[in-house]
Amino acid sequence: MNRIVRYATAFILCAISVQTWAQETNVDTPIPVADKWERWGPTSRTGFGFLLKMGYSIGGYSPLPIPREIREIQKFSPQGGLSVGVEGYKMFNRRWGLKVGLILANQGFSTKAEVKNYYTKIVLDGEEQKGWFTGINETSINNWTITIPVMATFRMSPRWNVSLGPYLQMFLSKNFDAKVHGFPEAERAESAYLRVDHGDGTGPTQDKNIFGPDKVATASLGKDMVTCTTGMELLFDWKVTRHISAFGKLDWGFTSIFPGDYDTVRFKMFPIFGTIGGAYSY
Amino acid sequence: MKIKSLLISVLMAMSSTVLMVSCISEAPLEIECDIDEIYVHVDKPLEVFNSESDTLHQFLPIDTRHVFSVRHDASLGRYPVYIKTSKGSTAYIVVDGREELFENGMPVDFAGERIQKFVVRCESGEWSKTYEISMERQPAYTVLTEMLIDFNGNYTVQGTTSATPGYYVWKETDPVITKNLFRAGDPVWKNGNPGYILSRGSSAPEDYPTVPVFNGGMDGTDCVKLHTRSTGSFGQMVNIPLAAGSMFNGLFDSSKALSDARKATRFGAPCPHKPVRIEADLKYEPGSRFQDSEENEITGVVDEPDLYCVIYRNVDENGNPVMLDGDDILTSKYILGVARLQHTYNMVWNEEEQRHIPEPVLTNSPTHGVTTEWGHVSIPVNYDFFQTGHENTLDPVILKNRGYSVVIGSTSSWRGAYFEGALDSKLYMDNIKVIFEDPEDQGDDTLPITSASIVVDDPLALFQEESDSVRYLEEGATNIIFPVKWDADMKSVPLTIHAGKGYAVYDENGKAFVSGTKVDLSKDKVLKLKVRDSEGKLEIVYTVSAKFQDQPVPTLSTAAIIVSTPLSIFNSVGDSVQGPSASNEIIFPVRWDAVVTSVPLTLNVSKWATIQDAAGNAFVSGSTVDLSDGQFHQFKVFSQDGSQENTYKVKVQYAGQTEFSVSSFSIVVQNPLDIFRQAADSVQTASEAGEVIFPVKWNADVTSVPLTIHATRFSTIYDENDDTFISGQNVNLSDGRFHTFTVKSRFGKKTLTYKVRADIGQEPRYVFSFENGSTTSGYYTWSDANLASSWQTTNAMFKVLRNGASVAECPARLDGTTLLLETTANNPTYAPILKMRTVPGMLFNGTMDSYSQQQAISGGQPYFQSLPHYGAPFLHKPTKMKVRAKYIPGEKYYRGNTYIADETDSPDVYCVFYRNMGGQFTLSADNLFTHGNIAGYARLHGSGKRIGTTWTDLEFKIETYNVDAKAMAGGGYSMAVGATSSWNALNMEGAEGSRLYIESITIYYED
Repeated sequence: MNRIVRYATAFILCAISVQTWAQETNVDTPIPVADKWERWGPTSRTGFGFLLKMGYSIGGYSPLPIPREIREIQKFSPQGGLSVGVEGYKMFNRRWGLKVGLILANQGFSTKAEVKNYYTKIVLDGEEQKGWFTGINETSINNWTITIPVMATFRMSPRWNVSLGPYLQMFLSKNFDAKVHGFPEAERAESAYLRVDHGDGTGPTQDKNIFGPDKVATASLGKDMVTCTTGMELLFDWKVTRHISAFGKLDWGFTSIFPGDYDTVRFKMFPIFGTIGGAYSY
Repeated sequence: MKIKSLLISVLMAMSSTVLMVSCISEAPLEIECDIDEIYVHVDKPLEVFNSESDTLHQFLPIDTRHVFSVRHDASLGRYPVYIKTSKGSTAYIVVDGREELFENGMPVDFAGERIQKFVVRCESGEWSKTYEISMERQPAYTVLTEMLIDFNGNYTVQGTTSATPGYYVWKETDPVITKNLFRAGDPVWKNGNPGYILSRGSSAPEDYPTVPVFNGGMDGTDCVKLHTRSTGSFGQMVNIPLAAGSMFNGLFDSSKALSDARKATRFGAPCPHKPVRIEADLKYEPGSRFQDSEENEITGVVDEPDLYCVIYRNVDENGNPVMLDGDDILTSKYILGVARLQHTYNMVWNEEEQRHIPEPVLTNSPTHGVTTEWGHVSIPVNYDFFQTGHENTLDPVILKNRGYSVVIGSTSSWRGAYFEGALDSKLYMDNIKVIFEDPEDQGDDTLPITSASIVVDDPLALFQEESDSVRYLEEGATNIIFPVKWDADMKSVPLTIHAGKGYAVYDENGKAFVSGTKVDLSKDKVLKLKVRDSEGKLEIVYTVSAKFQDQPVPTLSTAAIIVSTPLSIFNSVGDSVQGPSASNEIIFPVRWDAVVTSVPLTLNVSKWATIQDAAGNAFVSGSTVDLSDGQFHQFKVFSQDGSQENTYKVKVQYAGQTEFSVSSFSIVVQNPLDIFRQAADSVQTASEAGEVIFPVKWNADVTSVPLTIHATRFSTIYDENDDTFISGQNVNLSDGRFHTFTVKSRFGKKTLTYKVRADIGQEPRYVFSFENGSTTSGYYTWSDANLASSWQTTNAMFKVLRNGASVAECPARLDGTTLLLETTANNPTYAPILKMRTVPGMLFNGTMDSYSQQQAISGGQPYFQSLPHYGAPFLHKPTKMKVRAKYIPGEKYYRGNTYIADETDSPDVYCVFYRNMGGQFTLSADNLFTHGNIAGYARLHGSGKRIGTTWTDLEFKIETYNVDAKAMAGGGYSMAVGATSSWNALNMEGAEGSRLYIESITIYYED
């Protein structure tokens, strides 16, 4: 991970120095601003450009559709959400261009849901309990990611820009902590339990492990997450000034954050995050 | 903060809409399939159960079996059962291997202690669980004074999966212990191991809290080690940091092991004996660090082991079952007596319950007396454990009816139930002996041996009645005889001798006899025992033997005919298995059309029995037999030694024949058209009167034709001589009369009778008769439907000549119904002119030119001859002509007008068949018998035959030549038929008054 961070830093520094050089070469030849397209357009004649971006991400990992085993989402709260990065673009003509990005983002949120017959695994010190859980399931997630989108970009108007394209996302750090416990209501004290799966094909017919109101079991699933996910990014940006723009984007994952044969979380979880922020274009 | 909220809401709008759109779907289908509760309804529960509460059982989640423990004298039958199963699940009961939907209240058959299987399927259909439910009679009460629990070799590792190596489980095998310390069907010693697997499942079996130690006991045999262990992080998380080793009889509800651990341990089982003392071999090593439930060290405290025996009332005041658990095992108000290792308590007075409650005191100087070296402890049961000031007494009736439960419990940390203790405290335990009160001791019994018993798992394998396994001795009796079943295996049976107070039992060699020693009581074996009193003065010799019952009369339980297609023999498959009637008759109802000439007959006879058939040959069950005669077949069943026998009779009973009919009759020959006009005539069905008529050709040869009678199968047919007739056999139908056939159904109960004959056709012919002549023209005329033309006569001409002649005077007329042709006198005026003295009576088919006087007179004889045109088209070839006639010749014969003496007139009758050249040609008088177109003819005149004066039948053959059949079919031939009273009339000859009477002329022809 450290290596990735190093590469990312190097890339950003490099981008800044190139921009510095570009400014130096263009300083004496101001661009005519006769028409609006030119006025809000790329700052370089060659159509190349760089943006430094910073934003705030919010979203989560969600199965689609939400499986029947999840009965009620009692809490969803975003956490973290810093997103910084650099984007390079090349306009082929006045309207169309290509955009490539390198974004470091923090994905964080926590949920609390009531589940029923939810197949899960509680792992602790190498001891594991698998089975069908009915009760409360809480998750707390905080991951650092590097996202590389490659997008076609289109200028809808002199100031409005839309970009769409696939991205590759790598997890730099993985934290996926789950916690199950019983119902706090006294009358449901015996309604939360794990039907233990002994793995012998007999299903939920054997041990029943009742989780009283204050009984808690946790599991760290971060280490089981995949390294990369892919998805599509949709990005809108709007020029506030010639160099400063505001943007909003949606990153929608198409691959699960857990491997396909993962039996602790038996459904696919897709990262879906939205980000808003500002950018400075050189 | 405001900005952040704004940001969040914008982002929510962008991204989380997606999350929220996928709204919560319907609840998942239920996946559990447990029976939570079972209740059996019995009208008089106390006749079956020890207490009403025993009719209800609550299952643990992992249970799949429940044995209702019922009184030893209970009669078992069908009782309505009610169950409560997991939400959404469906229950089925297994009947004959098939699952049938079970509904609450359905009666379930518990007779014979049979195990009934229930299958519960979860709502999602993914999972199912099979339960076994049965009722088991408790053993009959026998005196028990002590039991030894040695934990030797009766342990195995269970719960092994890919993730868990499993843990040790002790299954008690000693029937004395299982019948008195365990619930029916669950002879397993309980401990915390099944709970420990939930927290530290990956531990090796030896690292569980309760483990065996091979040959580790004080006596060198196996012992049990109870070891207080950490539950690891999982257990810590659920605030159960420690698991003490334990061993007890009762139940362990692992579902509560983590949530409510003390409720998971449920103690004791109903026992009909009153414990008075327990003894055990013990060794204890306390762990070094005593900790509380939060793992904080409590200094100055040493861990203590526990071993106890508790007896308590297992039903409360309201009749609800009572089962002590970890919370009240040593404090419950239902407790009557306790024997427990010594500990330090504060006895706290409970005013409400009027007793002291012992409150444990943690100390650094335990008083239990168990050391790190093996030692023997003996603890009396204290029936005033709660220091009420009086001893609890047991109700002997309740005791005998198992209204008290006895607990044997032990643990490596006496406060382990409260998760207090020292890790690595180890209690080694072996040879727990429970001494029960001897009811005989209560009386003034002084017999040296009061009773002897043989206690085995399945007493009914040895004894007819369970009570036979105990022999009480009368005073002075020294022969102990156990009545046993004839096939009981008495080679090695455990014998318990209950000696009177102060007496000791020795074997023949003078060695002390230990109760439970296995002895050989097989046939003719007599065991001698010596009993001495405490002073060794008195010695009495007792004999112990078994009296074997006579071999039972061998019986046949069921007989079966097992074939691959039972429905070809039986109306229902169930009919293929039959039991014997009271008179040992076995009757298989079979289909009326069953073929049972060779069917495998299975005879299920009692154990060891052999079978002989009627001929005295050994019969192997399943061999084929011929039962088709419907008569009884005898089988003898012999007991193993041949001393007993039983006779059974087996037969089939055919069902009433449901179908019986004869569908058709047929004569099947190679060329049906040789016999029949059309092929379809060869198959006939019977008329309602049972008549079957085959129309055959007139010239067909039916002297021997194969007659097929299509009757329902298995029918028998008899001919008119009552001989068996086989369908297809040849019959002679040429006589044309009816032949009777009788068809009988398979078993002769129904009979159908038919009459069969051939309808032999007549030779084709036309019969011409004349009774229908009409007189409308003043003379007779005739017509005939079979002629292509009318009959022509000389009447018209005659009327021209003799105008005014009456009908009766005409030459052709009827005499009654007979045609009369008469040669009649001509008009005298014309006769000379015409040279025609008479007018003949003539009749023929064809046409006749009209006649006038003038023409006749002018034309004379030749003209007359030219009048008739003989014949009309005829489509068949004539073969014969028959005539019935009589003839009376006239007196005077004339040729023209000339009288010829000595000449006698004669008639003529003829049939001429000729080619008509496409209808253009007819014969006339001058060529009637001579024309070249004539293909053949028959004629009276010149034939040599004569018509007499009385009725004469004459037959003439018509020989035809070169007939072109195709032309004939197209109307190219004509036939002329005629008669005349004077054969030569056309030459003006004849005798006046010649009379030809013709009744009929018949022309036969080829069809």
